[in-house]
Amino acid sequence: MNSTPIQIELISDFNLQTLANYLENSESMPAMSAKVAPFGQVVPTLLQEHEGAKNVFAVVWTSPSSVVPTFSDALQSQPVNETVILSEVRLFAQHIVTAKNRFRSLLVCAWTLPRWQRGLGLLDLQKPSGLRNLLLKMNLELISALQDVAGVYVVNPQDWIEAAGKNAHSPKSWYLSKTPYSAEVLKQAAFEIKAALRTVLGDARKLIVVDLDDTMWGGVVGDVGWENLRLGGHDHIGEAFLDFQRALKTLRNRGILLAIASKNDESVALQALGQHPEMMLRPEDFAGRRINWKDKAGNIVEIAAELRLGLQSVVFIDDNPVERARVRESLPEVLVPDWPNDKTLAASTLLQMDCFDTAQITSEDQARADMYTAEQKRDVLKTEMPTVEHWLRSLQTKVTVEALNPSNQARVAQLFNKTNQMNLTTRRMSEIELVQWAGHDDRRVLAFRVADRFGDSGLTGILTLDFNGSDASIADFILSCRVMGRQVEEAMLAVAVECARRAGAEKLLAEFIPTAKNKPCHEFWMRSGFDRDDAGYRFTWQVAREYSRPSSVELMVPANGQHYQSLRVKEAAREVEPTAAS
Amino acid sequence: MNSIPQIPSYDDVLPVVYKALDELNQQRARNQRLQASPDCVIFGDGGNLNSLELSNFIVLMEQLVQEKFGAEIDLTENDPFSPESGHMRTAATLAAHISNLVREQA
Repeated sequence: MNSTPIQIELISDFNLQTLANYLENSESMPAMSAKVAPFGQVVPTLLQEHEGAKNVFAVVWTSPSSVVPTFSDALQSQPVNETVILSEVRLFAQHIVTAKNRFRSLLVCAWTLPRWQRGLGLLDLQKPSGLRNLLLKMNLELISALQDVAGVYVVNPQDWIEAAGKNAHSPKSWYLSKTPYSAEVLKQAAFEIKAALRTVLGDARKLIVVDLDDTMWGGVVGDVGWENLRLGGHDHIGEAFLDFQRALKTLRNRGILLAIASKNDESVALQALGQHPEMMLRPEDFAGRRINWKDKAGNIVEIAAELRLGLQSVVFIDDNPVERARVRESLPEVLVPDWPNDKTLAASTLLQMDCFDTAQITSEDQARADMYTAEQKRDVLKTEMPTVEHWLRSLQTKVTVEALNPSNQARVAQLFNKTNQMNLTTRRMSEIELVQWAGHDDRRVLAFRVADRFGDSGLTGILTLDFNGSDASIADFILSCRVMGRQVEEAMLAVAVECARRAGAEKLLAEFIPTAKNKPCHEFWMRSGFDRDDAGYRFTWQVAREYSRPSSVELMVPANGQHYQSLRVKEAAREVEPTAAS
Repeated sequence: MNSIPQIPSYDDVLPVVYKALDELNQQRARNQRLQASPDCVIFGDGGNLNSLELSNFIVLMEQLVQEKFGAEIDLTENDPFSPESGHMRTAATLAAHISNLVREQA
């Protein structure tokens, strides 16, 4: 991760300087530079107008009575009108929406009450006039008002408060320094805020490589046989292993890939996975596996390469500290968590890891594990076909091109910020920045969905164009590694050339910006057929010449919201023009 | 379980003061962290804690004493910041003061 400090502004009606100190001085990443807005000035700070803060993150942490004035009356047991309270919540949410244009992302804390504030006691949650009853409704209203606002995330400080224990709320801190929480809460808040920013910055892990014996089940399968493994049954350790498998399955359902690295005879291990009646994870749940007697670090490198993932996407879980140390030492990019000796802690240890969090959940994420299963089938087919051309034709690839729109912009932004290998310029933009960039008449953002006979890979390509007189420039050329090498790249260029021609451009230009990771993109451009300069970084196409769509790819556009129609390149380019799209 | 002394001596309290300093150091830049020693200056000549850090330190110290010795104390009383006799001058003066406070309560 970049070591340049991330700037963050803390906006609150109480003193958050201690939180700022923790954010700046904790050694966990990202490094941060924190500024505390004048406390007690929440709304004026949110509504402030100034330019140039787009790279700054913000945390908005308020007490409910400061931004929802009528809640103060409820605190004093005065009758309140719930409708008025909820309208004040919506007004506060509107201030957040206004402020989001100034910040890259905002974390908005839900409201909490200190434990000593008992309200109506036994009836506090149940009665409409109870403080907790009102607070629940206020939080739901806030979440509802902000749930579709790009770049705004409502977070729950109750988790930080619980982690700090019984001294979480400190009246003494309030009277001495206008901080209602103990330092322990603020330390926990700093930890969670950093985790949230790592998520927003797109550093989520995507693959868990897991050991088998004494990690996925109890016992050594090669010694005791699959019938005698400790898994499920009326045995607390067996139940704990089953819960760990269930936790892995939960992450798989969220789109995290699973793979096996185990020192075993493969046939013996697969028999256990396939035949044990209580096995939660079956062989088809794993996107890759290396079950052999080789070094696990080498096996992990092979699995990651096979799945086209960088090692920074990998988590390795193994009960054996020697294996963990070996992988940590040889593959420092791989996250290797300390693993509990107590097997009953395995599931909770996995589920509390924040490295799998993502800033958006898209349908592509949820289907990712199935997509990789389809990819394995494609690879099998590739080995069976006489030539690559035969294989490409047999895939029956369909590429759908669509303009940037509210329904796809979250996924486009996500792909924009996490694609490394097939990425022309590796430009990063938040969803808000992307929409703003695309808002100019002389710019276009096109998204590409890819499907074939084995499945739907979803929205996996982005092409952005910048028109300037007789020149058109490809500002971004991005393709997920999941669909690289299936001639989708060439289909995207065919669309780019046609869009440039329709815009009246004479030349289509592209400038490659090298990074440590985008060599595959450069290799594609070098064989793309575009003219190139001596350095091989600037590419040009004379638009008068058509760029042929590869015959193995069928090009489509969405029509009538539901149906798809097959088109030629010229028709596709026309269909995604702003006038046609609207 | 650790045995909890009914009346902690100076030597019992000093490690608790160090623990609070250690916690406080996590809020400070690496090159500004306080060294755990009896003559570590908390307030006064040679000290560099700001008012917020002092507040945090007092609250933390009181919580730790409650947890460790079961005693509820108030470190803001008895002229804590007096240059001559204030108990917040150093780790040693603070440990001695806390030991006395708990003894008085017992």
